[in-house]
Amino acid sequence: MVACGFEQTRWRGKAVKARMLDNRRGRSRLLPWGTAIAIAMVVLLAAVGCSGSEEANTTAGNSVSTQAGDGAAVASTTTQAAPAESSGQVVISAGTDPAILDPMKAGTPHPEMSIVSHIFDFLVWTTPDMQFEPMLAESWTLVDDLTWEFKLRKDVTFSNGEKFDAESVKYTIERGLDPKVESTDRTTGFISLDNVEIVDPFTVRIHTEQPVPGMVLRLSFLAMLPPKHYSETPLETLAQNPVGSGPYVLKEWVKNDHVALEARSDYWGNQPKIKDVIFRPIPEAGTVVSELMSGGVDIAPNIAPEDQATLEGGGLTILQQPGARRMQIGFNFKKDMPTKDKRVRQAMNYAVDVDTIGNALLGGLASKSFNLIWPALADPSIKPYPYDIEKARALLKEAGYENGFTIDMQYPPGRYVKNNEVAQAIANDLAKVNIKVNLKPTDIATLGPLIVSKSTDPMIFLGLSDLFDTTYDLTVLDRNYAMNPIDWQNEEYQVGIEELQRTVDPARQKELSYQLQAIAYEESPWIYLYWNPDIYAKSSRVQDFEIRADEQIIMRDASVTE
Amino acid sequence: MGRYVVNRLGQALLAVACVTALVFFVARVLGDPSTLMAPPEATVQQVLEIKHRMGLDRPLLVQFLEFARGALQGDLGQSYRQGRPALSVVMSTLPKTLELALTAQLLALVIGIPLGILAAARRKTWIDSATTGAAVVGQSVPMFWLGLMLIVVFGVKLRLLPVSGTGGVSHLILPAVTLATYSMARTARLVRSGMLDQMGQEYMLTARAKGLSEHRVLISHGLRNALIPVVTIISLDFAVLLGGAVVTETVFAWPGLGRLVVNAINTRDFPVIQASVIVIAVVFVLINLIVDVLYTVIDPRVRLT
Repeated sequence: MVACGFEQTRWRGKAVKARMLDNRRGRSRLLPWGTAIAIAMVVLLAAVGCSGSEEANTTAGNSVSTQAGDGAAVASTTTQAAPAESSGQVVISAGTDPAILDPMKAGTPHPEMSIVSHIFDFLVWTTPDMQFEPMLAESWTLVDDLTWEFKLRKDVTFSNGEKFDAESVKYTIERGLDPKVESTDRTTGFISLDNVEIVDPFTVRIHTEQPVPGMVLRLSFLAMLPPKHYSETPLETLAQNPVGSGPYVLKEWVKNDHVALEARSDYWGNQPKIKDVIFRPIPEAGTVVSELMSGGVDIAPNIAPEDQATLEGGGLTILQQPGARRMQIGFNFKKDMPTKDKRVRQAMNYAVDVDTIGNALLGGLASKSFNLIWPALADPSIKPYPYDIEKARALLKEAGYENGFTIDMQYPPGRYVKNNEVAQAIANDLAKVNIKVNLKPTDIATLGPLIVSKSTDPMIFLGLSDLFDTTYDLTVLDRNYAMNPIDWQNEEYQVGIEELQRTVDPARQKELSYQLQAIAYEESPWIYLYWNPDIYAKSSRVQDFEIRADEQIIMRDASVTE
Repeated sequence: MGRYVVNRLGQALLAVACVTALVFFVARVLGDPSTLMAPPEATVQQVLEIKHRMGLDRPLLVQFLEFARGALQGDLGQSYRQGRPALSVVMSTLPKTLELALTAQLLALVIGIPLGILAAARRKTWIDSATTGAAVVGQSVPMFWLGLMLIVVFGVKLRLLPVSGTGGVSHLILPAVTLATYSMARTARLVRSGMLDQMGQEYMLTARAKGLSEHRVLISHGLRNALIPVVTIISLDFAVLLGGAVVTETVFAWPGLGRLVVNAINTRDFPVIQASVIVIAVVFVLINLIVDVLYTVIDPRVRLT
């Protein structure tokens, strides 16, 4: 213990005078405090300084639930009051915030494409049941194998005042192919464009180097851009400030908090009834349910089957459909496994009781399907493999695997409705025929490169998207395709699919399609499971809203009551 | 003092550099985002082209050197997903993250310290047991459960507070309480044990003998010393609150840094992952430095060497 006064200590044999340890003298208190405060100030200033420039992207206007205190006005929003026809507000939840709103780089159907579909128009519009309707293009014809002609509407303006015409179409298509833009746009990769010819201000001819039968489908994804704005603005700004010809403009985007759209007053088409459309990223399912129950959110996708009762009890409406995602288990042929024998694969198709799984886990919304291709396009004579455990055993015995074998299966956990539980149920079913499945949950980002290099486990359980298009759907088994995880080497199929990709004649398309479906059915490179159910919840405030098979949530024709 | 600070800043720089390098290499070992960025119908060739365009097929060391060179000039790369500078992406989440972290930290202190003192002063009474029990519960309760429970009670049933998102003060209450609970509980226990420690010391007896009121004895003398470990904890805690409040941010859809980092990892947005780690590391070392410097004021026995 220390007493007042000087203390003598010894250090290395020398007497050392210690200073008084009373902290009121001999020690400055200012210095440490000053230093500490100085460091803290520097940090705070840096933080505020760097983030201050970000606030410029938000308006200081009225918004749903944001303190817009530091916001500066945004250059691109038009702030006229919407006409008396548009009123009210709807809040839609999404699992993530949009990353980017440049329509050529937007990736996810919801919320990115949903938002794009409000701000932009397309030459061709896809209705909720996946039919094509003229939109910015009034009509189109196939002039010859390599030329498509589109006649355009004359009364369309973009929200920044630019007029829509053939120049816009030409610009948009060419921008999609510009390597500097790095578009992930699914359209332009297929166009094999030769050039875009402007026949007259409202007529455009697209010349291709190879026949592109799916041109209309591709253009239904290509949002039309105002050339001046998109060519004169830096890419970085365009990513956050979309400008289109659609009925809504981007009013405010507070990252990871909400995206607010506001109806325009000068839209060429039907004036939307809802004035404010807000998208909120809410990652946690429990929170989404709470928000629906408390009225904070009006529409939400991806509702779990077990929450339906709670939500219906809270006055919400559940909308559901067998969706457009093909749940299947692919057999990776790169590995040397018993599944190389066709009989084994067929046996597994017979052994999985999809209907029971659908009833038990998916609220009865899923049933066994030959889901390689969208039902409307499928060969009606092909029926899915029925659940027949005896047949499965017989086939396995014939192939010499009566005693079964062990095999690994990968899948991205939690990515689709209850797919963890479904994977376990399937493993269970296969165990009944002596096939022991080792489940290997692997997240999708890790799985990605494995899929591309076709080096996943021998069984891979995925949900592949469907585009309601014969060629697109069947291309999933083309061995050159990145998203085809299985290394299925079937010459007959490969020749057929490559021809289909070049065929423009609808009759020949259908013939080839049916042939390919027959091969795929017989050879069973997949265990065909079910269409992933889409379950949405909607508040009773919202009227005239239809869910879509492409997972987008679009409010163009909807209305809200108060 | 000056030399100490400079020394520490040097060490801090080294620490941040090492952490950055580690994260750089580890993130890339786990795969790359080219498949995630490619449309579903891309060919293998197209995916490899995307990888090439992003520069991700070059040797790791080459990629690192390029990154380091840019970093030294303040350029941490462009976010793959958002197409804007990764540093901007991270910094733009800071205001909201700080809002939540500071509020939670404040709550933890304002409630935790008095509770700890109370428990120590009323040792062996029911107040002590109740407080300690509550603290144990507070430390054990999983945050996502607590958050969801608070949402159900206050947001859905009672409709007193908003369920999620940002906005006014009302939006801040539930997430801050959820986040603060663990910290609050631990602070209370720390203060309690610290106080009990001090209360047994001779100088406390001296203070009482001098005739000081119980209040002065406890607060002006005992608490001062009991707070030293608490200050240490705060400095560690705060950094965790900034970058690690993922669960709370997810449950309450709060646009914070924790959620940003996890999303970036899930989508393999390397520049954002790196920028986040750098920012969190820098804040962490700076806070530690500030606290170490402040120690000399709080505890005169401490010398900075």
